[in-house]
Amino acid sequence: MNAKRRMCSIAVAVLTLGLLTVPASAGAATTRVADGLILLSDFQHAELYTVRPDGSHFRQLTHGAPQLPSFAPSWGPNGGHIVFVRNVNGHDRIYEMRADGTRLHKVGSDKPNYNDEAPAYFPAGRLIIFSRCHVPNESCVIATMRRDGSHLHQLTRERHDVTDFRPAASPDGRFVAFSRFFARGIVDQTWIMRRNGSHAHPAGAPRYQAYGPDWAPNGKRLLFSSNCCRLGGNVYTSDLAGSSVRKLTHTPWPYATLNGTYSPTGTRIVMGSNRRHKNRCCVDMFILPLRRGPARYVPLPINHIDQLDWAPRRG
Amino acid sequence: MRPIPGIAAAALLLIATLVPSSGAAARAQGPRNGRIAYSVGAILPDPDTQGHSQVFTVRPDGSGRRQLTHVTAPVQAGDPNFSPNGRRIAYVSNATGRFQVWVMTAGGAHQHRLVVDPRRNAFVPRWAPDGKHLVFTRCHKPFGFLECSIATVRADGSHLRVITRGHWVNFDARYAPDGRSIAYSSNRAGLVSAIWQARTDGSAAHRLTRPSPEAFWPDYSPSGRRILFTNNNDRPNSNMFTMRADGSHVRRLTAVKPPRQSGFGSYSPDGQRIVFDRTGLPGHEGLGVMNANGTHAHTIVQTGNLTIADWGAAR
Repeated sequence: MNAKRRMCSIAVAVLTLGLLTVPASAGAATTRVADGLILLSDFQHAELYTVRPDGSHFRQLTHGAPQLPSFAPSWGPNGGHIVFVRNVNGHDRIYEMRADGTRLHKVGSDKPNYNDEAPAYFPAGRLIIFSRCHVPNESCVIATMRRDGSHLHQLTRERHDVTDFRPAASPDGRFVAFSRFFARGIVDQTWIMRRNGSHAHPAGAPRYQAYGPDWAPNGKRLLFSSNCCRLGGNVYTSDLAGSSVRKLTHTPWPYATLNGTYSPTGTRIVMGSNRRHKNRCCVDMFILPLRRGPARYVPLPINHIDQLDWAPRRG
Repeated sequence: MRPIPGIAAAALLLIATLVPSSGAAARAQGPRNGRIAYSVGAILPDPDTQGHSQVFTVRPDGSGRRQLTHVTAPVQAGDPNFSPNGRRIAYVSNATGRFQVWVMTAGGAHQHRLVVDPRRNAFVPRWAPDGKHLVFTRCHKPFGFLECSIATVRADGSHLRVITRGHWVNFDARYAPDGRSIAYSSNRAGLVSAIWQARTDGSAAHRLTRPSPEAFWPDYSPSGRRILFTNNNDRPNSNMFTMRADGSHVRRLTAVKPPRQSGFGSYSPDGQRIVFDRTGLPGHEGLGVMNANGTHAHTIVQTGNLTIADWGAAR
């Protein structure tokens, strides 16, 4: 009873595809969209970066740390905007900027005793879905707001000690997947609900301790990381019922591969892993082709990769 | 006249049924309640290393308190457990570095380390009913993540055997009174905590409690028919319950409201009473005793801190 409950270090890696505002078939998605820039944050410097999938054109977008650390970034529709979290005076607030780092501005309010976390866009790009955390109650709910911060709408109910985190809207915008921590005696599980918050239900067995759900571009499968609060995590996919589970990585304990995100074409996954470092000091970026071949290490100037998101190619 | 064999046999059977022999009566009555051993402070799988704990014994009415260990801070001693005959006490201490299993007489003499297991910390040692083995929790923290397994050892400290597998937190193991199985708490399968039961070699492990109670700290009743446990592992507002040894027929024993808590219960040797920890009740925090049905709860020793106790048999 007296031991302190540990919450995994979790943040957003939600794929949003502007081209999929109108539901499209998998075939259509893979033919109309090309993979563009990868957006990433690092937990050492707490800054945001973009890079091409081959590791070239690495670019730092924010320059606020250590006073204004930035994290949990997510692409907007078509890769034109980025929404993320910035800690200001000890409070986590949602910010938005253009893909080149310009036009930085805060979204939402400064409500006391609340932190706003893990933002992502709805596919149409008009709404931001995020996790609003009531600090004294140690609980987080899923909420939406417009991009101007208005029309705040709470989708899940606040319950003491239960954390709803890392929401991701389905490509057709009808459903939301999110991670629910410490509900009903289960450490962490992926839940799915309708976009209005109704019909929430778990999707997947508790033993995976799944977190960070990401929708396949065709909306038929969910990508997730396992072992939210333990060593030895890997990246899996499942169908929307949580069955037909497929293990994509086989990183041995105590190493982990996590924070996987689909590419816009749905043919690759970008993820972070510490498997190259015996002392688990660092996390590198890897790209895994889904059809065949091993995961490829992408050398970068930083090696404390946290959140990842992959935008469609622009223009 | 020679008695008629059939009638004689029937008469003997009747007499045996109605008037038990002295030995049978003793077995039915079970051991008498002796002193209670307890320690103050959280020496659990994730111990409070800043705390200071000693082992004490006390009469069930709270009188005759004796301090058995006199370790000097930051060394701690705690988690006491009487041997079945009430003559020895197993406990843990970090007097030689890591927490290890120690044994002393019920009067506190001949304190010596029983198990040398330098790569792990040991917690919550519990004797087998035959007094020939102990079961205990064995923990380490690779890269800061707590992992614990259940191990058994002979009473002379030899033949240490780890009986649970996987990178989970398995702890608080107790032998069933028949010595054939153990009950323990575990977060395996992605649950916050549940009571599991297995054979003494760790095989045939199966879960007894549902996920939602977040059950921990099991203790078999002396008859072996019921198991006592505490709910809300790692959360405030814990209470105690019992269930049948197969996990069915859960019955609530305490119903204290926050900030009060009742937990870490242990049956008396005659099965009629329970010793437990009471917290959050100003002026009454400490070692509590109540009837096995949850009535007549009262504090016998005020400790002001978490109290781990075990009720020994009268010598």
